[in-house]
Amino acid sequence: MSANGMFSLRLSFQVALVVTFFILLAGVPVSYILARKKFRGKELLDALFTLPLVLPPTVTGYYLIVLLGRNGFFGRPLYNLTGWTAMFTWWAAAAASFVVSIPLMIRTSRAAIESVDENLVNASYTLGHGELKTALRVVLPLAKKGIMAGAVLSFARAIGEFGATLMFAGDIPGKTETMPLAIYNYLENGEWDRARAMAIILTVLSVSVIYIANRLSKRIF
Amino acid sequence: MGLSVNIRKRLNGFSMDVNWRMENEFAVLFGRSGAGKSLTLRSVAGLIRPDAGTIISSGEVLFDYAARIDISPQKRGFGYVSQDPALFPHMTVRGNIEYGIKKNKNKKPVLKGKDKDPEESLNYILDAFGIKKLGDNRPDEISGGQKQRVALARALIGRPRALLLDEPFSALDAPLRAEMGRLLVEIRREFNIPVVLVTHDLAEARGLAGRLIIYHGGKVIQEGSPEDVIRSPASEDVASLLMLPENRAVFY
Repeated sequence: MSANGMFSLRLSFQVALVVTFFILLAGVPVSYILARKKFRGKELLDALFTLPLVLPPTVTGYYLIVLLGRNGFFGRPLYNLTGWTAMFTWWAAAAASFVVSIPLMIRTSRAAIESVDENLVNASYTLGHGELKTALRVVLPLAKKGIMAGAVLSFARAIGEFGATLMFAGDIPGKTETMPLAIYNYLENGEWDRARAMAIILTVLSVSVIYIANRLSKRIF
Repeated sequence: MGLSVNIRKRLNGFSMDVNWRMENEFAVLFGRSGAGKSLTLRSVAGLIRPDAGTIISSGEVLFDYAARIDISPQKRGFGYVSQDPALFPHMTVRGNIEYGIKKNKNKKPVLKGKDKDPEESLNYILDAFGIKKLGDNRPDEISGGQKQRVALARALIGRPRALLLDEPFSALDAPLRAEMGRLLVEIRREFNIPVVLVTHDLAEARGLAGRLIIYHGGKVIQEGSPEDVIRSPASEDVASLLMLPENRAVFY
């Protein structure tokens, strides 16, 4: 594999691992709140977190630029303050993957948390333990498999992310060119052998991930 | 030491309005299914919020609608066991019971004078409930009767102010149920706390109750010692629920 190919492989894994970490960090509390709390606008919030699953990736990319781009809503103050912008860096690729992948985490782990028997939660309360301890010792351990499955699926989705990444991080070989972008470029240049090698890697990876996710939590897809 | 319950609750078209009190004794809430017994117990435990009224235990107000007091279930200090033993499937029997030990800063013993540290109380309670050999088993590896013993042990190890039991043995067969009833009487003697048992089993009610509280259609229609209630039922409904002989004659 060429140096560029190795770079893409490494970058894709780096992006997917960082994204999975942050998705676990953000996704578990959000899923818990969506699963167990009652408040106005809850289903609207759920819809917002599901949106990237159905939006065309170009639309997601557009929103990312509008929000986080150098002249974006959050991006401009950040640029004025620090002189740094995420656009066209690998952080942009990570942000794109994060947004596109988090719906898989939230849908899967919300369902897992909702399926925890309410009697067990009540038992924990009547035994004198508050909500935080009950969440950490009862609810989340019992929803662990679903949460892990969500993380694995998010990892797979992050590693395959193309459209939003292309728009927000650009297609810069040796800088933001992840595996899916590399495949696109190989085909543009007629380098079929290289495209095939990378396509096979992604296919094997995806099959393994779906297998693992299904083993962890039965009946997701 | 006592419990006074005066609450109203509407739920899915069912309306409940009950008012009863008990001292440090064994009270049985008796009545047909759907009379409001479980709803009452869940309200006392803090798992359901009544629409109005008060719940007072040993002089401490746990719920007072007018005064906007509603102590959360984790701070009410009751032991609560229902028909579903609700054992944590990811913990061993020992782990389940340990979970019932509250982090007690004063290191108050579970049973007076018998134990000083949590490990000792754990071993004592495993022994007392005849589940010592099951300590390392998971809940799905033990029988229904054993599960209820574990649930009772778990509820008691935290030294509850009272024990609330919602048909805990209704899934067990008759001989086992009788055995568990005897266990309950022993528990009450040993821990010396009020016990409230919900049941629709007449033999259980008559055999265990120190105080009988009769539920019918969301209301308490009579309360008193079993002897008094049986000797002079307040109404046809009470007599019919208790299947008293005079009443049986009416049926035939």
